[in-house]
Amino acid sequence: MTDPLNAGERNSEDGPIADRVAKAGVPTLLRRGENTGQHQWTARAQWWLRLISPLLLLGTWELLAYVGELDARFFPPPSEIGKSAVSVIQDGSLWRASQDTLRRLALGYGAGALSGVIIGLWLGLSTWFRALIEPWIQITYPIPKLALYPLLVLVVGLGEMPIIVLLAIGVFYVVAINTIAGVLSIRRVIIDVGRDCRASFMQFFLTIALPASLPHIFTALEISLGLAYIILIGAEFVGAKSGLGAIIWSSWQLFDVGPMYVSIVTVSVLGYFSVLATRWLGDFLMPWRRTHG
Amino acid sequence: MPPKIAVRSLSKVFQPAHGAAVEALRGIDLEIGEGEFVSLIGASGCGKTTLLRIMGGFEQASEGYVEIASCAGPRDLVTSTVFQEESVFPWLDVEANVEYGLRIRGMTRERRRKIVDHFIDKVGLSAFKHAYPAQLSGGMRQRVSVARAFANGPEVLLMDEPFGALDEQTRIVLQQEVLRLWSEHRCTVVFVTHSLDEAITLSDRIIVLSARPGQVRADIPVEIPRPREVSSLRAHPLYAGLYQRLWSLIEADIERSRPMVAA
Repeated sequence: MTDPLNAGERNSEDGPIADRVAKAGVPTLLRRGENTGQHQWTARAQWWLRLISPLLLLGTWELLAYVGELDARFFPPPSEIGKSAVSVIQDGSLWRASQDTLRRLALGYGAGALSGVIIGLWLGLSTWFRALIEPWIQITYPIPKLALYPLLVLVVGLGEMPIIVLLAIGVFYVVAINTIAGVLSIRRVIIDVGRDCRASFMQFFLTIALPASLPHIFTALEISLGLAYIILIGAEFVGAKSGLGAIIWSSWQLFDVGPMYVSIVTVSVLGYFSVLATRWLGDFLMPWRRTHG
Repeated sequence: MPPKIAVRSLSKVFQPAHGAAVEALRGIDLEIGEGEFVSLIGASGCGKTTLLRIMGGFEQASEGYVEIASCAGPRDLVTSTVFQEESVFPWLDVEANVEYGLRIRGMTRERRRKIVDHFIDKVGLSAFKHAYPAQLSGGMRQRVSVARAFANGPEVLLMDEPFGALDEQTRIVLQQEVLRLWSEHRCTVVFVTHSLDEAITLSDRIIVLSARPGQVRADIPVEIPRPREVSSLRAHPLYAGLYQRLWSLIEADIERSRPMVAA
């Protein structure tokens, strides 16, 4: 990266201003564009800094816990958390909990995303359908989805189902609203080409609205992924006997915070890789966006 | 035999949600014969694009109608349009863009490929068959639109200032390509342009519309023989006279549409 404030310009004589004033009348040579190699060095150093930055944070934490500045009952040093990570990995409980959490995520997120895309495309294309349904969406969107949990238990019973449905609802809104925006942002001339070729509603849906909205859809998928983890862990606090959210809650109540920290880190790692996977899928499905420039 | 396209006492008034109504076209009567290449010209805002969009089925007239004498089968397209704005699908490569209309109508892959290859070759994009629009220049993208319209095999080709946004050199090349394609695949063409030169270069007949509300002011035949060579056409003895005549027909409108200073 080039430092925008210094694009490789230097005076051939970098003396103090007084010096240059003294030599008034003699032209100063300004050399521009010469590659001094400095930028490469800066970029490399910053890359390394980025890499070791988390270690600095952990090191500081470890040190503060070691000297007693942090209460080790609630903020155990990273080395302690590491030990508890090893034990929950070895006894298989972390793996089982992650599996449960991921299964709920896949089902709930998948159902919400799929229905959000289909309903969103339909709403975007049909003004009649939009006039009927969009007010419902706008009115119910601001409801915090976790608030629906007790109701859902009443409707679908205890266990996995209310968690999955809650997730699906939360994801649905974000994906549907973004998909509608995607369809509505299609340029009129693109729609005109479809009409010119006498495309049917279904053909509009599949060959124009869907591909044209993919960028919006994938932005929504990425945003709603973060939301999905929030809803999922929250629902697992109260409604699940297994899963990472359940571990976080129970280990906190037992004052055994090691597994709690391990689960928090696991959620963040899972979240990170899910976002990467979503981006990868987006790149795969939108090859025309890779070829820019 | 009826004319290919008949426009009968057609008027169009736009009524915006707020503000005054705009009368775009008034009492247009027009006949266009089978296989004719007709240009519509006029000062900007005279409704020539609106007239074309009504012919293409994109807008409804306020009064009157357009009648097209069609022998098209149920799967054929009567009209196909080349738009002024960039209208290629960014998510399809060149080949898929050109074959879009054929795919929509359920043509088999092999038949489609033959037609598409032919037209991609005709517009000189064979080397870019699998390129996406983002990788092409504006002129190449417009070539894709032209190829798509011809591949649709319509009875009437509607072109709405297709080269308006291109630089002059690219425009000359594309005009030549359209003339060549049209000579090989005869169909009726209605071509909207604001360029007098373009109208003379391409057309058999030029319809001059007045300023808003657009009315037919003149109907001028272009008797320069074909095949025409775009780059040397300006040297033809008929060219200068035609150009003068067209200019004198629309000059007053253009003066009038100049913005008022300190009204």
